[in-house]
Amino acid sequence: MSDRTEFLHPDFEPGEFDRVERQLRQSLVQEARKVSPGDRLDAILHEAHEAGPVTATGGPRRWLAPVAAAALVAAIAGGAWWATQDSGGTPSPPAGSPSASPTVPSPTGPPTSAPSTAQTSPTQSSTTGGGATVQAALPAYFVGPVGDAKPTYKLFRQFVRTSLPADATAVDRVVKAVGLAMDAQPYSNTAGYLQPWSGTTVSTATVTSDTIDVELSGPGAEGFTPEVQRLAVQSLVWTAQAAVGRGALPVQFHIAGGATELFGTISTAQSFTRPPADESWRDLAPIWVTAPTTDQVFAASSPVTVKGEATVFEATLQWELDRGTTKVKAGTAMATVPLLILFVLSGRQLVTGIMQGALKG
Amino acid sequence: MAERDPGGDTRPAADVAIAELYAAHWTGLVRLAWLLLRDDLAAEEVVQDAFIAVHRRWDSLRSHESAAAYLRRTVVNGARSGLRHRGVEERYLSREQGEPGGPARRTEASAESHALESEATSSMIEALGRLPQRQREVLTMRYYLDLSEAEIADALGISAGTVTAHAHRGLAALRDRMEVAR
Repeated sequence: MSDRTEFLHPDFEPGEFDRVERQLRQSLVQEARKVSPGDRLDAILHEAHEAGPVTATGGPRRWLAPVAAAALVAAIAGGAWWATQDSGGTPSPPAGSPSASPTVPSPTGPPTSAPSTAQTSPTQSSTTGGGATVQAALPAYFVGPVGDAKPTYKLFRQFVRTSLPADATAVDRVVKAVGLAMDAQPYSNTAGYLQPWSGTTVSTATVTSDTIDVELSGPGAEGFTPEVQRLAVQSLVWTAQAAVGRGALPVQFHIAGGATELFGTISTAQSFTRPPADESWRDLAPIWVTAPTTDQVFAASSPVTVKGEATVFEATLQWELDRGTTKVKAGTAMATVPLLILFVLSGRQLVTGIMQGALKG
Repeated sequence: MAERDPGGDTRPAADVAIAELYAAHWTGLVRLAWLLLRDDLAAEEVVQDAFIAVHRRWDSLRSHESAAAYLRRTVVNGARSGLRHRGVEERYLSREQGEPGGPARRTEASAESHALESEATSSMIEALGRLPQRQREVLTMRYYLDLSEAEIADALGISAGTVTAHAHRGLAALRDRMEVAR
C-alpha cells in the first residue's frame, strides 16, 4: 500500500493529520463491523449465467425477468416488528438503467443453501490439475404447496449447494441439477415439498444445440394427481433448462428399461418446455421467499428484511408473520417493479404469503 | 483452470475468477457501499450487481487487478446512484406516510448498539457524513479500504491531484470538527 504522506500537500506540515487520520481509520473499521454481509456468491453466479456474457446490446436483464419481483419488507428489531411499504407506486425505474436501484429486489434472491446454515466462503480447488471441483449452487425446482385454503401445488425454486467439476459441462450441470430436483426429501418436512420422483435418479443426459435429453431410471412415484404429475415433469424441465442456461430449450425424457410414460400417464414421445413468460404462473408458485433462507439466524439487534418474488394481482400481496401457530404481524406489501401487468391480465387473485419466522431475541 | 469452452454455455473460467474475487473483496466492498449508502440491503445489491457485471465482462477483463478496479468503480457509482434514487424514494415515502423521518428502511442501530458504540466513533462518522460526497468517498476508500491515491482516482474517475485535494479538505474539516467537539 502507498504510504500516507502521498496525501500531504506542501502547505501542510507532515504529521499534521496524524491524529484525525488515526481516529478516522478506527472509526470506519468500527462502524463497518456493524454490517455482516450475507452470502450472495450463488446468486451472483446464477444471475450472471442467466444474463450471459455482455454483448454489444447486453444490459442487465433483471428488469425484464419473466417472474415479477416483489419485496416484502419487514424489519425486526428487538422483537418489535414494523413494516414499510416499499416504493410501490413510484415511477418505474429508468428503462435500461444499468445501475442497481437499492429498493428493487433482485429477481434472483440470495441463495438458499441447503440445510446447512454455514456461510461458507467459496472453496476453491487448487489449480494443480485434474479432479478439481468448485462449490456451486444450482437452481432446482420442487413441487410444493401454495398456502391457500384449498391445497394447490406449484413449483418453488431452491438454490442447492453442491460440488461440480471446475470444468463442468452443460451435461454435468443438467445431471447434477435434475438429480437434486428429484430429491425433495430434505425439504419435505419444513417446506412441505412433494416427492414425486422418490426413488428415481438421472441415468444420463445429452445437451445439443436444440434439445436437452434426460434419461431417468424410472417413471416416477405413484399416487399423485394429474396436475401434480404435470408439475413434477415441469420441475425437471425448469431445472434442466436453468442448468443449461440457454433459455427454453426443449427437454426430451427417456425412461431406462423402455417405458414410455412418465408416471404411467405422460407420454415421453413429446418434448417439454417451460411455458412462455406471460404464463409462467401456470407452473410457478405466486410467491417465493428468497431471503432469509431456512434456518438463518440473525443477531437480536439487526433488522431483518424479507425478500421474495411474487406474481400477484395488481402488484399487491398480503403477508403474515407467524410464530408457531400465532400470527405475530400481518400487512400488505407492494411489488417494486412494474412487471405485473401480465398477471393483472391473467386475473389472478390476491395471494397470501405466509412467512414463518423464528424470532430471535 | 478451465479455459476451454469458448463462447459455450458454461463459463468455468469466469466462475472461478468470480469466486476468488468474491472471497477477497465481497465483505470489504459491501461494507464500503454501506458506509457510503447506510442501507444494508442496497449495499449488498450494489455490490452483487458489480460482481455480476464483472462475470459478464470477464472475457475482456481477464485479470484480477483489472477486475478489482472495475468492481470498485462499479460499486462507487452504484452507491452514488443509489443515493440519488433514495432521495426520490424518501421524498415519496415521507409524503405517503406523512411523517418527516421517512421510512425505517435503512439500518437503524438498536439502543443497545448505540450504547456500545464509542462516542468518538459516532461523532467521527457523523462528521464524515456531513462532508461533501466526493470528500466522503475519498476518505472512506482511503481509510477504510486502504486504497492508494491512484486506485481511488481510478475508482472515482478523477485525477490523482483532485483526490489529494479532496482528502485534504475532508481531513481538515474533520479535524476542525473534532477540535470543536473536544
